[in-house]
Amino acid sequence: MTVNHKELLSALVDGELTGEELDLALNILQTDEQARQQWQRYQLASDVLHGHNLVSHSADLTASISSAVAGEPLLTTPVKAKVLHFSQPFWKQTMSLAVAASIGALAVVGVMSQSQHDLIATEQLATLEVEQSAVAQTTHASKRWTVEEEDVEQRLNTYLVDHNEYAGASGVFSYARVVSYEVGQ
Amino acid sequence: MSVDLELVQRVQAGDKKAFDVLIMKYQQRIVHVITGFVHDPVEALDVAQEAFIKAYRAIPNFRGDSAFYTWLYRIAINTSKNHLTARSRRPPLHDVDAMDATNFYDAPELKEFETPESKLVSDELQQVIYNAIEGLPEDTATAIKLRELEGLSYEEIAEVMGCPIGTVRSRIFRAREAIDKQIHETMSEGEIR
Amino acid sequence: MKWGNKLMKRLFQLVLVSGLLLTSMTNYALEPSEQILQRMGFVAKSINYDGVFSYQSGNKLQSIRIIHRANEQGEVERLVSLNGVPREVIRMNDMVTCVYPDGESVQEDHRPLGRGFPTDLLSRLSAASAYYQINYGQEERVAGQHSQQLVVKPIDSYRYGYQLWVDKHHNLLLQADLINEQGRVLETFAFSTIDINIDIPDHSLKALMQGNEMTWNRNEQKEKRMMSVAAHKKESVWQVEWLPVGFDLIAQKNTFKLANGAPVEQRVYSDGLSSVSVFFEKIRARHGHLRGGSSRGAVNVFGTITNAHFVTVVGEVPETTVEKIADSITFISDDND
Repeated sequence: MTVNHKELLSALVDGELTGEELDLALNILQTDEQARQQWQRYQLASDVLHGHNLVSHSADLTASISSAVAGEPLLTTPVKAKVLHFSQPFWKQTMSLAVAASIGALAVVGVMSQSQHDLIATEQLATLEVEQSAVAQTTHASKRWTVEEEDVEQRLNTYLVDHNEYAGASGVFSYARVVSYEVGQ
Repeated sequence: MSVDLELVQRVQAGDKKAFDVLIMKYQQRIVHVITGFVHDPVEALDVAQEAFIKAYRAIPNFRGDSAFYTWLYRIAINTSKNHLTARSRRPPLHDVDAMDATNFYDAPELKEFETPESKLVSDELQQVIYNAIEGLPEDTATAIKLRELEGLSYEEIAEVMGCPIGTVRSRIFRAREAIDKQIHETMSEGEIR
Repeated sequence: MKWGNKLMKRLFQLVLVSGLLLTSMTNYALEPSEQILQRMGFVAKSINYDGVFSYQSGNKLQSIRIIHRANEQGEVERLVSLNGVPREVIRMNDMVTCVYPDGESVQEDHRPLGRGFPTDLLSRLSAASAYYQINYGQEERVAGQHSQQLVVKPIDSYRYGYQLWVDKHHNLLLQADLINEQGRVLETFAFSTIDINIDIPDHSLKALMQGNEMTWNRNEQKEKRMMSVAAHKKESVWQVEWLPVGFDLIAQKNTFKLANGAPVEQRVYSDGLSSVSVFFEKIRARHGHLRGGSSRGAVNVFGTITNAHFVTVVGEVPETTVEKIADSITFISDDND
């Protein structure tokens, strides 16, 4: 395996190969056991840097998976298969109640539901709406930064989003600040 | 990522070995993701294997509307979720002390697939790698950091560092070689259990 | 050092049960208020409850229904937004799934409804207890429950304090107010109604909303940020000379800003409870930048220009703090520049 081949393998880890170089790299991987091991070492080091083995086990599953699917028929691509939307039964739980995603619908669910708690939630919703309008009238708007230029405001909003991603502030507080930024700009 | 798409297309055309490459590329990450939910390392490997098999079976339907890893990730999540849900319905777990007593590496069904690097424990390995990077010439260290820690593409790194993309690629390669050498030396010294 | 499965499992159990950072478990001879804090963290994870809470700041009000169940398999929690953007969040231990209504694109935001019940507030307060004084306040009724008020006062005027109300019977946190140095409430989190220690059937914890889903591990961000700090430790072109006592670097990130492609470095400092971010953005093109101070709700920000960079300090701390931090930032001259 030449140095140039190794450099290709390195670029392959980063997904930065195309065309002939990609073909060459993939062929090397499939024919040269040493190259495969070298590539796996590069990949492992990359994974470690990303923290992808924070548990002290790592095993190569390739062989066991390969043998598990060895008996399966070779795949052929259907010419015009229908497009699968990714929120299909594959991982979506079956719903017992199909409701439209709107606040009105949630309230309806509350009324129709047997559960005492759902009823309470609906009542609370009505109360909160009243409170909300009262609050809007009495307090000053603290939603926007006190600056003049829009691009400065945009930058500050971006910083705030970045800050909230890391900041330890209570999750609820952080969410609300970000939602304020999303809504009504 | 065009590499992934290329590999997927090869698998869809019947090249099973191309799927091996995808497994090798993503197994560490997928196992890590699953372990984050399932916690038990042995179970996590089982769930990971199940997820990859599911992915293989579903690959004819992969259309490339999302990145391959995103698609694989969702399968892994779903498999984990099913596993957790099924587990929560079973009566409280049996006493696992018997299993705990054996070191994981002795688990017979997995031992033959152990790679030499798996002997290095994760955070020690991480430290070895960080040290290797700090020992690099500045440009080389910057290139690998921007790539691995900040996730920038070669093109973006080239812009930040003000150099051609080819230079970025060879710097990153040199960094990887140096890291590889460092890991090899550390393992040979037998310092890491 | 290798961790056996058994030890790992015990640790997970301990962390789950105590709800605290492991370091704070070495506390002995505790003040009664600290005992309450510890109990609150424990209880929130291990008890069933169903209620409605809201977040309020200025004229912003967000209401969320939360249903929480805990057993030996762990916790399952469901949150539903009651106003504003429709959202449902289901959490099974560390696995968090957010449901977005059909037609809406999935957001990358990992805090679509916050983290619901702010138990992390309590563990962070425990971790930061050296910098805050906790005292008993009044006994009051909150959300129909007999509650004890706790007053959390910072040791200096560089950070904000809290008022907390804890249900006396179950030790559940029912209300948390962020208050400034004048005693003004900047933000409130409060239950308006709650049922505690009740049976929660499976169907209450299933999402009713149909739509696109996004699932992640809630520890993801924490892992990423710890790694980033470890990796970047040796670099420091910038020096932040002054920070309030107890503030440490907890996160660091270098990115590109989408708008103009300028590289930006972000550093996050925290005392465990309060935090600030400092942004260093290389000046690329002529555009406006904040000079001086500004604020929004509980958040204050201060901007300056140093060595061809926009430097911005932002966080939920008083004005004087962000300004003082910004003024203390110096550039370590480098051969490359």
